[in-house]
Amino acid sequence: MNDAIRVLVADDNDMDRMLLSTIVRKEGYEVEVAVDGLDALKKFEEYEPQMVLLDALMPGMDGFEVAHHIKSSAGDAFVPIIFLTSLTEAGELARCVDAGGDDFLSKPYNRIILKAKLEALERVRMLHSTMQSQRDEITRHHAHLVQEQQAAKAVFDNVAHTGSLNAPFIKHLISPLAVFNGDVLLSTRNPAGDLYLLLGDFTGHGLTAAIGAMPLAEIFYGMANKGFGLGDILRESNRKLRTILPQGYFCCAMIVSFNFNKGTVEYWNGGLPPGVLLRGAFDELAHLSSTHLPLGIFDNDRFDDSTKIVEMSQGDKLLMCTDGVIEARDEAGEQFGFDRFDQIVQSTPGGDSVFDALKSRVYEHMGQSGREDDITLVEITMVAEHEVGSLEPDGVEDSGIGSEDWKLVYELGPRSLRASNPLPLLQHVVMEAPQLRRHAGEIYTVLAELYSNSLEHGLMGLDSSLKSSASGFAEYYQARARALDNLEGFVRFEFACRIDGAAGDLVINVVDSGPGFDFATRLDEKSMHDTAYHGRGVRLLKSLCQSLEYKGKGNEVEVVFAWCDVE
Amino acid sequence: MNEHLNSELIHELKELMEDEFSLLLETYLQESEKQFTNARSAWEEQDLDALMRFAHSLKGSSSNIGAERLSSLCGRLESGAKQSEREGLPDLLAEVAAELADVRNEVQAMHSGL
Repeated sequence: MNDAIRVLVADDNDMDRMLLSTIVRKEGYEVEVAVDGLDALKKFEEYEPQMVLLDALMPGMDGFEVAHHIKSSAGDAFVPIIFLTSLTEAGELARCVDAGGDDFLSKPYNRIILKAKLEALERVRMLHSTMQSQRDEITRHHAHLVQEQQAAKAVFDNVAHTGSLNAPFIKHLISPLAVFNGDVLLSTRNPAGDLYLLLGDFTGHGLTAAIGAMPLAEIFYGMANKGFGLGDILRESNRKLRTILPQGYFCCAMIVSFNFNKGTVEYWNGGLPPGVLLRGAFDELAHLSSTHLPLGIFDNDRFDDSTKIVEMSQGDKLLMCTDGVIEARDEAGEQFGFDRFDQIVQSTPGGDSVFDALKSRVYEHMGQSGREDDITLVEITMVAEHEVGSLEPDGVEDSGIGSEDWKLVYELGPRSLRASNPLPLLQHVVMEAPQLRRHAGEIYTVLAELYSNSLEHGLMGLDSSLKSSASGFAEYYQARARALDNLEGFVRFEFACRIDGAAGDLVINVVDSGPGFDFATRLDEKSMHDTAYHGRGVRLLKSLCQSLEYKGKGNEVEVVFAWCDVE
Repeated sequence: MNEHLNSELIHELKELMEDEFSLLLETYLQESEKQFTNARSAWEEQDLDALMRFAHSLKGSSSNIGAERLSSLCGRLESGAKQSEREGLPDLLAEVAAELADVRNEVQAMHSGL
């Protein structure tokens, strides 16, 4: 009878106690007896009964007091107490209840009634004990979960690190609703020094929302640092998220690329509130609205990665936010709203920080009302290239093992030219030479300029002077998109690398199948300084390279990138 | 044959207690005598609180042994003591004494007959 439930019978009346013990024992319980109140407490401690039958009136310590002690020393455990009483007055019964009595048994004792009461209380006791152990289990699970979340959060933060966000021309507010953030804000520089920034808002918030942020961050940082363009990063991100996210989950995102050299911003917005472009000098507002579906909805064959390009002058600001800002509710349930957002951007006096104004107004609006979503707000200011600061060279401390003297010819036909960006691949090959890694940014810029010159001017015959006016700027990129669709011909890169100790040079020859141009007259000094835009590419190339020479009918250009690193 | 005990209840007690039935009867005989003696002393000392407690105790055990009339007389004694209705108490005590004597006789007879 080891499993028998232990019952304590406390009654100062010998005959009643004897009778009751016999009944309880015959019902299959294990019985211990106590002859008065103090004895009851002592036996309770020694014997740890699971149920107690307690006479209300006992000399010394009465049943009410004993019940109080038992209930408090039982703590979380439920120890049912049945008061033995023929008390008939409501006031006395109330005292039993107050003292923690769970039931009553009156005299004469009836075996059937007592059996029913004991069984009922045993069911309650079991229920309570099950609930208790489940609660304890939940508590343990929760503690474990929190611990795991914190560990996962540390990993998450390492992967989805905020990159270049502490740059002085970027202001940002990231305010997650839970441990994990469903909003993601990533920022880095590509090899040419362009600033890439991605603001994403995953469906929901907390862990489920954050899960997609890890691969997104991996793709973003990995590809941006290798020099891939926005389109390639978007396609890869979309493909990945489409594969891993469950049905109905997606990521509203806006990705931008700031070119500080040209004063342009390339962007793609899929499902986020419009980016607000504040052109300080012209006191005008432009909206970079969403024209795409969020990431992770379409398969890649239906996914549109086409970006748009706008100009920004120095001091112009781009403000971006997630839905959490626009949909933030005040205590009356009214949303912050995009109109209010716009109005604050417009009405903030010049010189004051639009970002700070927005931030404080959003918090003011929410007041004490409960938050519903993650909130992210970011402001990027277009600054002069020299203010951006130089890139941290990546992987300079290398082993020195790699290719030192090599040649490479890489020719792209029309389909490759239409569909792919050769720069990351070429950059990757060139970076195989350890000494060149110190010059990754310059080389990327040289490659990018050479490629765009050959493609846009050599093959497509676009007129870069268009880019000198704001309307022409847009026209230029429209013409570029049209020309790309009907593209014929090729662009061929030829590399020759020679390294001798700390010095060396890389000769890059680029040939296109286009008609060429009259470089002798077009590249004179006068037109080179003509405007801020056209010809800029050539001037930039000349500043980076030891020499630049057009050849043939103008469809071939050769640059020599030379270096001599002194430790 | 029993006028002062509920014979049906006695029968149930016998079945329940088996070999200990005789001990149960002995215990009642001892305890009831003690409690009545204590109750009478309490009355003599005008300790109504003690009187109430002993009456209560005798009421309970008498009820358990099937002495229904005795139990109900004890109940009246208990509530009389509780409400300090002194004038009725001597008569009630006498009634309890008489009924208790009858009950004890029957219990004693039953015990001897086992």
